[in-house]
Amino acid sequence: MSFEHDINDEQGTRLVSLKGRIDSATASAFEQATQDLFATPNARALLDFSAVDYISSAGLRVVLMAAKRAKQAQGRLLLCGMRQHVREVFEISGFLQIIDSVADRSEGLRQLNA
Amino acid sequence: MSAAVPATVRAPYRWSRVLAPASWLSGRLSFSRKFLLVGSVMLVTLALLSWPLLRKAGQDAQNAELERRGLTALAQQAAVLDTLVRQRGELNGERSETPAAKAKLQALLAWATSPQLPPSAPPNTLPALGQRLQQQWQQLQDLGTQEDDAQRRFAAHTGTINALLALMRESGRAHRLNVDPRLDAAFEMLTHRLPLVMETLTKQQDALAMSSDSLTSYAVAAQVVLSEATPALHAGMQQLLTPDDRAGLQAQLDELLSRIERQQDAVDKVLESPQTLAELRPIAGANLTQAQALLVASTAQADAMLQERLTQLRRSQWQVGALLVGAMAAIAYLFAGIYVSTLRSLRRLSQGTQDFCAGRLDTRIHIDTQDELVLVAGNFNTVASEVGRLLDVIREQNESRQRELERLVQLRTLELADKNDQLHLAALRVQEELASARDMQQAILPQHFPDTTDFSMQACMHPARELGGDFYDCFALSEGRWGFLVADVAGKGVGAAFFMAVSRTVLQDLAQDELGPEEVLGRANDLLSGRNPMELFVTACYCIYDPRDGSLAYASAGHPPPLLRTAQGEVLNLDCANDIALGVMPGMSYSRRHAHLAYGDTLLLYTDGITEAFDAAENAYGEKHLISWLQRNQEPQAAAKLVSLVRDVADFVGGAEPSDDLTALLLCRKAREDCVALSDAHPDSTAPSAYPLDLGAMTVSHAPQELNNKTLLLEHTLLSRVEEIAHLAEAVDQALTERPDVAFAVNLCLEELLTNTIQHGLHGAPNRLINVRLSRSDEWLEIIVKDDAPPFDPFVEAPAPSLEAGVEERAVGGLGVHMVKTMMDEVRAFYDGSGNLIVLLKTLKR
Repeated sequence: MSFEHDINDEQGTRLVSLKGRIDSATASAFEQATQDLFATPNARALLDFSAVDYISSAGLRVVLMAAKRAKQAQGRLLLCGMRQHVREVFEISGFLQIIDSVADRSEGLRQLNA
Repeated sequence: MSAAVPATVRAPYRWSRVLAPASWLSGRLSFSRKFLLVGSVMLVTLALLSWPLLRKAGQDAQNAELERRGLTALAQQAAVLDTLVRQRGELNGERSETPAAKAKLQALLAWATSPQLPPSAPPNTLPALGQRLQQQWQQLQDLGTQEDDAQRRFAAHTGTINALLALMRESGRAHRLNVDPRLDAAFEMLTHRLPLVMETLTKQQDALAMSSDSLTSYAVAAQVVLSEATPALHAGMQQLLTPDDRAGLQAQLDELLSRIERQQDAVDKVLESPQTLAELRPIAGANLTQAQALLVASTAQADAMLQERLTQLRRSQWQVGALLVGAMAAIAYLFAGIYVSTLRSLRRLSQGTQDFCAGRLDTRIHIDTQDELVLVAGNFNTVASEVGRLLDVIREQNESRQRELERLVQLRTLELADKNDQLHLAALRVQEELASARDMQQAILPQHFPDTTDFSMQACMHPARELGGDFYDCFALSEGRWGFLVADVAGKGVGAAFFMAVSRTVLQDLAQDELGPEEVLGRANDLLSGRNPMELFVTACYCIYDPRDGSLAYASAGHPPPLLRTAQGEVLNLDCANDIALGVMPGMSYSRRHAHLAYGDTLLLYTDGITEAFDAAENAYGEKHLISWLQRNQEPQAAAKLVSLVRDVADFVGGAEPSDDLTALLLCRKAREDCVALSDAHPDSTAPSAYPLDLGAMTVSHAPQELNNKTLLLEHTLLSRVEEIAHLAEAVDQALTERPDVAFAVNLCLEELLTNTIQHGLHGAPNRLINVRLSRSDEWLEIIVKDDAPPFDPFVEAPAPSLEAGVEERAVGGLGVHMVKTMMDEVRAFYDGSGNLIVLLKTLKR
């Protein structure tokens, strides 16, 4: 089980579809995927976790960095589709208090494009 | 054209021809000798030139001396003559022959017989004339004793006087008195005319006195003689006269001549009248005295003149000598001066040249003379400054070239550094790609092995380089059987790795078809031989194990035979047919063999990377060590046993570079009691209050008795790499299939802790082993992580994160430990002396 990702543009929003395990070994690939999301000011990005089985603090670190970059670029970052286990990890680490998340992709796109 | 050579060119050439001998000589002499030679030649020339002068003066002086001696002799002879002449007049009367006069005559005779004349005197007949005088004198003496014949006596006397006169003339000649051009007339007068006048004056009177007619003619003849003598006397006197005529010679001569006149008058009177003879006698006597006085005075005057001449000659001799010495001294002085000055200049030139040659390039020569050596010094100075200037130019050129070279070197160095950077980047890229290829290679090999109640299996492959050629495989077959294999591709590197991937796929595919091991190998051989462009081959040993009865079917393709260790510790090589490696040629057949694993037996498949692992001294690990290890090791679990094997080989090899891939597969059939114990184990519901904190090294497994109230779910050993964690997660998922929620939490916690250990405890060291063990009871799940890192307690050392902070303030560290603490019910860490032991407890209650 490894990590894959896919990036699409959906009505001006960068949609990053993530799949598989995000752990210490794959965190660097995840980091590369999110590296350029907020290269332009006011960019918007949606991270879709619906196919992610597992995430560890290494993956949280990448999400946190992406959130920091979003703030600097005055853009918006939204997480969506987190499964229960993954959601718990975010919850335990207190990330859901500082990073917005929604239930699914369509909701996310709707909010971002509003 | 040669005829047109200008005379100006030819002339020096001719001169050089002419001067060749001299210049040859000059070329062979030092300066001092040259000067000595020239000076000597000049001095000799001077001496030769002045020699005749001195000689002439010397001769003149000698002649003058001779003449003076002649004059002395003349005075003596004149005295004798005077005596003889007076004696003749006394013929008739008294014989007044005095002994003094006789002695004078004897002395004269003795002198004439052997006159002591210098060698320069001309030859003479003095001895003959002396003899004649002697005879005449003897005759006269003899006559006197016999009879007194006046006429005969007169004749004899006259003969004697004539002999004396002849002697006087010869004496004058012998003393060169006749050849002196300045006094010849004077000497003629002295040696000849005056004696003759004296003789004639007396003879005239004596002849008259004898009154003989025969003798009268004497008197007349005497008149003639006397008158003839007058011019000669005048001429002789002329030479003797000095301007002042202190001696009054002229007056004496005039007196004499006038007296002679008077005597002639008296003679004439006597001739006319013989009675007047008495008058004549005193006149004649006085005249004789007068003539005698004149003779003496003239002689003295002549001697004085000679004396003066001698003085003059001596003086001129001295002058010539002084001139010569002066000239010599002047020449010597000049030459010495020139020599010293020239030598000084030459020495300066030589010294300057030496200094210059010795490297003192600023040397200049200063010569303060006006000669040609100044030109030489000037030329030297010009050359020296020119050389200095040239050296400066050369130095400047060299420096410029040096600078240019340095610039080029710098340029090239920069280019080289650039190229090196590029190379380094390329090497890094290759390295990265190789690393990912290795990950890929490791990934295609199974990382999870069966560990059932009956048996446990474990395999590993450690490539010698980035990419290995060895591989292993294990997979479940139908009816609970397991297929497994170990293979070794000939060669290493990328080609071998590709061939390994192909071979592994082919073998796995074929094995799925439920074929016997010999058939799998046979077909694999055909397939691999068909697509083998690099002529690679692979040795392999494929086994099929049936856990139900422990039976083993296997076939080998050129691979080392498997080793079987019985529960009793006996090790034996399993029998293998000598079949050929896969990929060599198609259509080969392979043989099946059978074996049986009893309870507690262990089967080891390996590649020659183990037996041919070399230590630093080039000693091979070898089959001996391998068998010995297998005999010794009593570890029941395949995983721990394999770790022990890897460590044993690593200990043997030490720090030496691995020469080949190291691959091994262990199959341990569990002892019968173990199986029973595990299968009969009843999980205890009590909480695990007492943990084996003194667990020791991770290779030591729990004795089955200690697990009475627990079930061992998973024992996993992994290398200290983050990539390994995914495999562990898979195993955990499998072990906890019925509780995926717990599995997720366990995996999360394990990853956080292992990442911590790898990154902070081991500082990224990639090949350390970490052991993870999962056990459960009814209520609790126990997770034990064991590493061999230095003491490290993540729960104390990691700072607690601030969960309430905003996005910007949130730190990324410390989250993992926080999550572990949150998700687990109990967390503890220990250091047991050989490594850190982390124990986690998680309740299984929902």
